[in-house]
Amino acid sequence: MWRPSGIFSVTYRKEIAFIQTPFQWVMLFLALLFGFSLPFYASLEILDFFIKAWITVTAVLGLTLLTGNCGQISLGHTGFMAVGAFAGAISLAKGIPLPFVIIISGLAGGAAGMIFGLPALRIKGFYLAFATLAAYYIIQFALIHYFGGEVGHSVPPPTVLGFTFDSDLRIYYLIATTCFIMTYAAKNITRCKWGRAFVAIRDHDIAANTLGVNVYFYKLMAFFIGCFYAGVAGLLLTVYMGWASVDHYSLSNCIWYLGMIIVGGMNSISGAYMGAFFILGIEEAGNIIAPTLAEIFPKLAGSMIGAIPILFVGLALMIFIMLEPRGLVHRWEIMKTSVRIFPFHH
Amino acid sequence: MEKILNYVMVGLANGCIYSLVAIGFVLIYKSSGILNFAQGSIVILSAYVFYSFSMQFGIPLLVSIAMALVFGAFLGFCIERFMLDRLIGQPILAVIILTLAFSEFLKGTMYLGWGTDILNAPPLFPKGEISLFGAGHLDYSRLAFLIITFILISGFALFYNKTKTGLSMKATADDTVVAGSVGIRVRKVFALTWIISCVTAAAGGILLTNIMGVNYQVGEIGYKAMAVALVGGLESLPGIIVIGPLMGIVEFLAAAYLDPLVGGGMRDLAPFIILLIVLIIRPYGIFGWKRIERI
Repeated sequence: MWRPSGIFSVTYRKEIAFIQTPFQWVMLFLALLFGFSLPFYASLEILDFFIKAWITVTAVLGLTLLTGNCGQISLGHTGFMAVGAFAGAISLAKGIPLPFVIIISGLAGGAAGMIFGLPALRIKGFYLAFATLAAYYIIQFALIHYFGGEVGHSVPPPTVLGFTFDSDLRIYYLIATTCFIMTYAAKNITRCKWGRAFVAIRDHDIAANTLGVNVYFYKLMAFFIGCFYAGVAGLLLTVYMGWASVDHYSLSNCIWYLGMIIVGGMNSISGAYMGAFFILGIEEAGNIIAPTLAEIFPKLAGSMIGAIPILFVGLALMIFIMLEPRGLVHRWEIMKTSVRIFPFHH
Repeated sequence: MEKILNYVMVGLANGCIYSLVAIGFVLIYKSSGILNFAQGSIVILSAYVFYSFSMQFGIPLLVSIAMALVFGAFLGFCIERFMLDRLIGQPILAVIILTLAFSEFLKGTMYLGWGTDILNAPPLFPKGEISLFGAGHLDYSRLAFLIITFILISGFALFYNKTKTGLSMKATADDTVVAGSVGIRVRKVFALTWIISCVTAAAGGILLTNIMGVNYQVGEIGYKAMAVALVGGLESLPGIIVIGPLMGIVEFLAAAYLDPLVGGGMRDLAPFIILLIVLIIRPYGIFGWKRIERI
């Protein structure tokens, strides 16, 4: 990272610290303050948007680790979310306390991810993308036929030590806290030995193998970790909706998640945030504009509400990939540099 | 026995749909190394366009078929010129997301323009059915589908192996740079490939209107066709000719004999299960080329 000339880390501990400069501490504090004070002044619609955003960010973080960092393209991410959601719903109904349920959902998602990640040991690229798409259909089939997915499960409000998460406000804090912890973990995973192994595999798996990286192990672990995140995100969505059903986990959502990675920037944690908020914002804008457009074109009013957000997001994604495939993070870095060297050109 | 034969005949005709759509995948993959995830949506969009021309604007049947095919060609040309141009040298993920986003965009367009109802297109063939070998029953539209698919595919095989344009496409598929250096216009070949693949997609869409009706959810057929292309091997035209009908037969047999055991839905699932098994055993498909990777 960039630091002004003459300022160095004087100890190793400082060099590898998670937060390195006072400015970063200030930014972290402000972000946390914003996140946790939001329910006090935001309206219900905005709160709803942010709850969905934190859930999406949790899911996209998993995909960032799996696809962005390790290069294993997964079109089945929402399928793994659904696995976590159903595992969570069933164990919540049995009265298991929430912290364990979160871990159970994560493990269920991760296990499913590892099973369907097995083809990744032999294939990659387009073939893998399609194998995970097949996994999505198989998971959906299994959930519908063996776990009552068509009707769904209603989920009782989860409790921790007698404290019940039954209002939107309380659920907001549950979700925001989980998302925060998951972000911290994801950032650290990318910094440690495993994260570096993932990047090596993404760049060239055979070369990584010759350098002593156990490709098979790390590919499976990437699937496990990425789908662990998916499982937890699925559980959070279930808790928020109060209902687990396969309808919440559609294939288009998975396409949007992959789009968020690209829009944000392939392999950065902050990119996951930027991409998620960008795409969700466009979807929301589509939802807001649709009724007005329906008044202007009354002939198409019937399908306008459903179609406009899809059109908007699809178009935004296409334009983004064609014009800036390196994502918002890249733009952000350019902006930071041009501010720093201000009177001069970049 | 009679029942099995019946399933086999219907499966065979249905499988030809997959072959027809899968030709597009293989042609594009061979010439440019891109897997077009939007193929299914293009199929259905052309079907919708055909429906609009013939039912809403009242244009005669043959003319509207021709216009839908021209529309397919135009769409293919636009995709090649405006979208894929910018993706040269980008990671595979960007290509996948671009075609997927394009597919969703087309879905949104269809949703907006034609709604969610299943529309009934004009019949292309007279109603009625024939019985083959005294047992399997096959209605005329499926029979026509079978025949047209075989004509198209053998036409492609001839075109690919005998004409100059077909040979230049083959050369481009082999090595783009070398093809360019011997005087083949690579860009022109790319455009031609996309046009051909979108026209076959449009032909598939028009034929499909008689079997399944017109609805944007039928676009999922693109994924099944992709499974056929992957099982057959992405580089191989003979592969999809063999695998498509086989997949259709397996699908119907699975629906008939496995559904009572697992509770339905096997028909949509069978291709994906087969695909996963094949990918684990032979990652490059049954007729595909084994590539040896180097550092």
